[in-house]
Amino acid sequence: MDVAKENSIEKNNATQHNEVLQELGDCYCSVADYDKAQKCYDKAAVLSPDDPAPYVGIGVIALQKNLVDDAEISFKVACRLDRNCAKAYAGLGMAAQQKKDYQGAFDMYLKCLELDTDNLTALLGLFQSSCEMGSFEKVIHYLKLYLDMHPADTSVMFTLAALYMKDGELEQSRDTLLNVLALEENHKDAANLLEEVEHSLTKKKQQEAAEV
Amino acid sequence: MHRTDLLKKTGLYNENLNVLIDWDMTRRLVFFTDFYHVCKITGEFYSPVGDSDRISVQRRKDKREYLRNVMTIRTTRPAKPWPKIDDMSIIFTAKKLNKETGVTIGSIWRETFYPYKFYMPISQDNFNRLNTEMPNIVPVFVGQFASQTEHVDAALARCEGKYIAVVPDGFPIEHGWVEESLYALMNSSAGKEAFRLKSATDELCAMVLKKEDLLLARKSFPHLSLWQSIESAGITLREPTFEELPFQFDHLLQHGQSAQKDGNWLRAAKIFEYIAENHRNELWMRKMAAESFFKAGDRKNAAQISSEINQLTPTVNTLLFEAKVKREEKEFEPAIELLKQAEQILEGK
Repeated sequence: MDVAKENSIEKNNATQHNEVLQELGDCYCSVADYDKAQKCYDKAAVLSPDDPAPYVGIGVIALQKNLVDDAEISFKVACRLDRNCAKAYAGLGMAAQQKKDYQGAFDMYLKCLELDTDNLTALLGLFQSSCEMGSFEKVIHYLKLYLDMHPADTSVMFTLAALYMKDGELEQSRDTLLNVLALEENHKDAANLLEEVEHSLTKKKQQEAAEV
Repeated sequence: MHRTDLLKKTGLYNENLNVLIDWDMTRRLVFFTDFYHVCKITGEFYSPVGDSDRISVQRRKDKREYLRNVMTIRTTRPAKPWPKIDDMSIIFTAKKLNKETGVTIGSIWRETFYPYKFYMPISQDNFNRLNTEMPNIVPVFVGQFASQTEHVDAALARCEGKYIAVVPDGFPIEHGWVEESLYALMNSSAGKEAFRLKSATDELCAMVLKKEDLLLARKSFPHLSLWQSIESAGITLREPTFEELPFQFDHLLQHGQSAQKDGNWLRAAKIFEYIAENHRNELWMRKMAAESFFKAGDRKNAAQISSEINQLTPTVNTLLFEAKVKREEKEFEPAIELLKQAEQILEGK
């Protein structure tokens, strides 16, 4: 066998091993077995010291254990290894949110979404931080971007409709709610909100007619 | 395993070679016997990864010396008769000898896998100027102003091969340049057919045909040019179809791999599935299909194929694919078991 081919096999094995450990760590995290998850991420970090993914995993575990400062350090290491690591920014957003630094959290979530509009954690975090700060303009933009890629996500669609309503965009809110109900007939919250929106629209039209 | 008497025909191992010695012997055996394919795994082969003291590794480091070995093996012609191989004669026609001629001859030497002798109609003066170490060259002396047809006629009278390839100077020589059309010719059931060689154009036409057909054409129409005589003798000149090409498995594999390179994962997956169904190597091809389906985003197919493979001979990749899909379906425990198995393979346990 070719020497170059053998070297590439060796490199490929290390990459594969890292991927397996990363995946295993994520699975252990999902079943809340954080000790085993930590072991996997530690091993992956040794195998691929330039890969930010294990540090994101270690940060997530620290967050779950409420060790916010440790989590922040870990996410910062991931960012240093890869300035475009969207998950690391989402992690930093979560750490800031836990510290009630909503502006900091908002900025980090935004950075994450600039790199990956598909990151639901960041989208949700951005929404929550916005609620705390009372500003929704940027959230609407990212919700719309997310829906471009996930046109059937009724939860995000419903959130967008609620924000439209809050901003006084009643027609857009109604259209979005109708889309939710077309996809999910029995979405009770959407049906209730639609009733409210249509009531507000009728009222608005009556007011406009009276003014003319 | 082979019979001892075959060694009397092939000769012993070539001690002038210092690498690929077994390949040389296998290749020489092909001239005298058919190989029986034992269609099951009969053993496992281990070799160190990376640099090692294996001859196969060490002897490839000096590229020039390695190439010398390869070229020696490829051009070895054991003593005739060859009961299992039909000889090929390449007739190379050059108007004059220049740098380009040297390049074409060198490429033919480097790229030809099928056993051949190289017939070169040439004037005595030009032959004396020819500086090449290429073996199996047969000079056919012709007058300095002889036409291409006269060149072919002179060489044809000397050719031993059952098949004749006629190649003009400057013809682009690439991998499989003559073997693809030659294979089509060997397997053609139609009589009187000639096959254009890969990359042949109207301006630079090269072909391969049976010696008996070319002899008939030249004897029947000696006053016509080479191409006119072939046409007049009713020999059909055509290109081989894809189905007629040799190494179908290799060709399809190449198509699949280039689809992978282009990021066309779904097409790649389908090609690998097709190969598995039609050209054996099921395990290997289904693993490639699983990977391609996975990268194409078709998790369902990737998981299904991986799961079937994992029942028989699990690999790190197939375990990983199946685990990823299980995780997406929130079946964490089975995913963990699969990943643990993958880790064990990687750690050699």
